[in-house]
Amino acid sequence: MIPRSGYSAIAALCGAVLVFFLAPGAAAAAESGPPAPPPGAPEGALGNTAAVALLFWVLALATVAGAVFVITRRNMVAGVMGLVFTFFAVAVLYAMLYAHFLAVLQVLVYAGAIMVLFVFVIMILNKPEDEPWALTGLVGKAIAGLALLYFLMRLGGVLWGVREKPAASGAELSPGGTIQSGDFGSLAEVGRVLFSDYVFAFEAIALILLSAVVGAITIARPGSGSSSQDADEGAAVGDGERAPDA
Amino acid sequence: MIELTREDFLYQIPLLILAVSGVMLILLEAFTEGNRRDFLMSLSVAGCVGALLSSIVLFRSIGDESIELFGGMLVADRLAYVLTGLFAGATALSAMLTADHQRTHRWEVGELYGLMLIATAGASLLSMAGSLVTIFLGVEMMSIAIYDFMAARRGSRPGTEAAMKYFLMGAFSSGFLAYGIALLYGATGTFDISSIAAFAAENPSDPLLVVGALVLVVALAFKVGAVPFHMWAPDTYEGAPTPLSGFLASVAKAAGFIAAVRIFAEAFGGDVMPFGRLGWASVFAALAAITMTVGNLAALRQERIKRMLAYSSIAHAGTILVGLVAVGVGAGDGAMAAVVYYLIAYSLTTIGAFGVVSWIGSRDKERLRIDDWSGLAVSHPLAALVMTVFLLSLGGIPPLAGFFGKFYVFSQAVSAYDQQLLWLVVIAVLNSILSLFYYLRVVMAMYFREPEGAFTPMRSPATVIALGLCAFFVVKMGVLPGGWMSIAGG
Repeated sequence: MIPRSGYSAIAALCGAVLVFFLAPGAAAAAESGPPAPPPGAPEGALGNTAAVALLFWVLALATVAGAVFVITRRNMVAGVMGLVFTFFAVAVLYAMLYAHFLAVLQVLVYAGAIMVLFVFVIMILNKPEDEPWALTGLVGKAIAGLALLYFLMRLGGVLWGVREKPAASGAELSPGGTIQSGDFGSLAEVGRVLFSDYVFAFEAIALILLSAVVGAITIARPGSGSSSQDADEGAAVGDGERAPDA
Repeated sequence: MIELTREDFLYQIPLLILAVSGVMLILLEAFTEGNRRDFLMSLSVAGCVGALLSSIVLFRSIGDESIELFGGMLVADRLAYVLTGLFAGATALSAMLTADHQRTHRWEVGELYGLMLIATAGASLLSMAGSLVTIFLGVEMMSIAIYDFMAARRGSRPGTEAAMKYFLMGAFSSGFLAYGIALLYGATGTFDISSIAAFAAENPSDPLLVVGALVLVVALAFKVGAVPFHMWAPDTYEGAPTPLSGFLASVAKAAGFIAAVRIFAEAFGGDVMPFGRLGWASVFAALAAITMTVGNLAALRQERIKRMLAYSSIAHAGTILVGLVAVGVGAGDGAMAAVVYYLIAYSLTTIGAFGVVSWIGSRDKERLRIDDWSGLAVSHPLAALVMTVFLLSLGGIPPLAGFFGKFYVFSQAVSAYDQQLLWLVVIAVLNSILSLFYYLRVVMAMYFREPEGAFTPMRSPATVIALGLCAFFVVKMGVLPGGWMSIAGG
C-alpha cells in the first residue's frame, strides 16, 4: 500500500507534468492564434484567441484538480464524483479540439456507463470508509522525494524547450494536422479512419475485449475449479515464511 | 486510405493461426462437457505447432526483406518470425505442463488454453509491431489474457494474490505506455515507427520525444521486470500456478524485450537521444547494472525455489538489457542476434526449470522449498539430471544454451562502442559468477543430501515430453550454437 504522502506526491507529479506539458502549447496558442483549424470549421466559432486560451487553461486545471481530488479523498464516493468532474472537463477539451464525436463518447461511456459501474461496485463492496494507511520508513520517503525532485527538475528543464517548437515546425502541432478533411472529428470521419487506416487495430481490439469478457466470466463464475483441499494447500503455501526481499 | 492485398494476410498467418485457434478453443470449451482438459490442451498445442511451422516457412521465404502490412501497422521480417516461433513453441510447452498441473492439483479451467493462445497472439503482435498503436494493442492483448488465466486457479490464495499484483502493476504500467505513446505522437504527429525514426533523426533532442521515450522505458521496464520496477515479479511468480510462472518468465518477458527492440532500436536507431554519452542506451545501461545486481543478491537469500527462480528471472532480464545496450550503441545485427539467441535460450531453460518444479509437486505437497529437493538424485535420477541441466544453463556453464547466450551478449557488448561498455560487462560477469551460488545450492541439495521421503510425482506423457524437449534444445543450443545463432540473425 502506498502511504498517503505517496498519493500526494503522485498527484503533484501528474499535475506538474501536465502543467509543464500544456503551458507552452497554450502560450503558443495565445501568441500565434489557434493553430490552423481544419478548413471546414466554422469561421469565428473559436476565433477569439484570448478566450480560447482562457478556456483551455480553465479546463486543463479543472482536469488536473479533479484527478488530484480523486486520489486524495478517503471517501470513495467523493473520489468517484471527482472522477466524473475530470471526465467532463476532458470531454470539453476534446470538443475544443474539434473531436465532437469523441467528446460525446467520453460523456456517454465514461461519465455515463463507467461511472455507474463504479458507484455500483462501491455500493456492493460496502467498505468502511477509513482504513489505516501503511507507513514506510523515513529513508524510503527521503529517497523517493529526492528522486521525484530530480525527475521534476529534469522534466521541467526538458519540457521548457517545447516553447521553441511551434516556431520551428509551424503547423505540425495543430490538432488533426495530419488529416486535412473538413469534417475532422465527425462520426463519418472517425468511422472512415477506423475502418480503413486502423482496421487492423479495430480487429485486434475485438480480440482484447473477448479475452477480457471471457476472463471476467472465468474468474467470477461461482464454484469452479477448486476444492476445499486446494484452499488449504494454497493457504499453506502462502502462510509459510518468506525470505525478505531486497 | 490503405489498400489491403493478399500479402497483408499471408505474412501474418502465424498470428492469425494463434488468434483464431484461441477463439475456437474458447468456443469449444463452452460446448464440450466432462473431462476435457487433455483434449483442449492437445488442440492448443496443435494451434501452437501450426503457428510455429508457418513461422518457419515464412522465415525461410522472406529472406532479408522487411515487408510492411496494413499500411505499416505490422512489419514482417525475420526477427518477427523467429520471435513468433519462439512464442508459439514456448506456449505449447507451457500448455503441456499446465495440463498436468491442473490434473495434480485439481483446478479445472478449460478457458485457460484459449486465453494462453490469445496471450501468445498478443506477444506475436508485439514482435511484428510497426506502429505504436500495434505495440499498445499487443501489450494489452497479452497482458489482459495473462491476468485472466493467472487468476484461474481460484482455490489458491497465493494464486489470486499473484494475479491481483500482476494486474495492478500491469494496469499501472499500461498507463505509462499510453502516456509515452501520446507524448511521442505529440512530438511527431505519427504512430508509425519508421516515421518516428525519420523525425528523430532530424530532431534528436526534441524535448517531447525525449520525455516520451523515457516514459516508455518505464512502461517496458515494468513489463520485463527490471529493477526498480520489479516488485510485482517475486510474488507473482511464486503464487502463480508453476507452469504459468514459466510462461510469464519466457513469453511475457521476451515479448516485453521485443517491444523495447521495436521501439528503441528501430525508432531511435542512431545515437540521437540526448541522454548522456550513450543516447537512449545509457538509461538501459543503468537499469541493466541495477537489475542484475539486485536480482542476484536477492536470489541468494531465497529458501523457496519459485521465488529464487523469480529473482533469477529478474537477473536474466538485466543480462538481456546489457545486450539491448549493445544494440543501442550501434553494435548492429550481431548484438541483435545475441539478444534473440539469449531470449530463445533463456525461454526454453526457464520453462524447463519451472516444469521440473511443477513435476515434483504432488497432490498434497507442492515441494516449493529448496530443502524439499534433498536427495532427488537418488529417488528420481532423471528428473534431477534434467533440473541440473536447466540450472547450469541458467548459471551459464559451458556446454549449455545459457553459456552461449551470455557469451554472445557479453562479447558483443565488449566490442561495441570502443570498449566503453567494459564496466557493464564486468558487472555482468561478476553477477554470473554470483548466480552460480544459488543455482548450485539446488544441485547440491539434489545430489549430496539424503532423500527425505518417497513421493510419486506426476507421470503423464505430456510433462515428460515437454521437459524432454526443453532439455534437448537446451543441450542442442549449447553443443551446436552456430545454427541457432544464424537463425537469430547473426
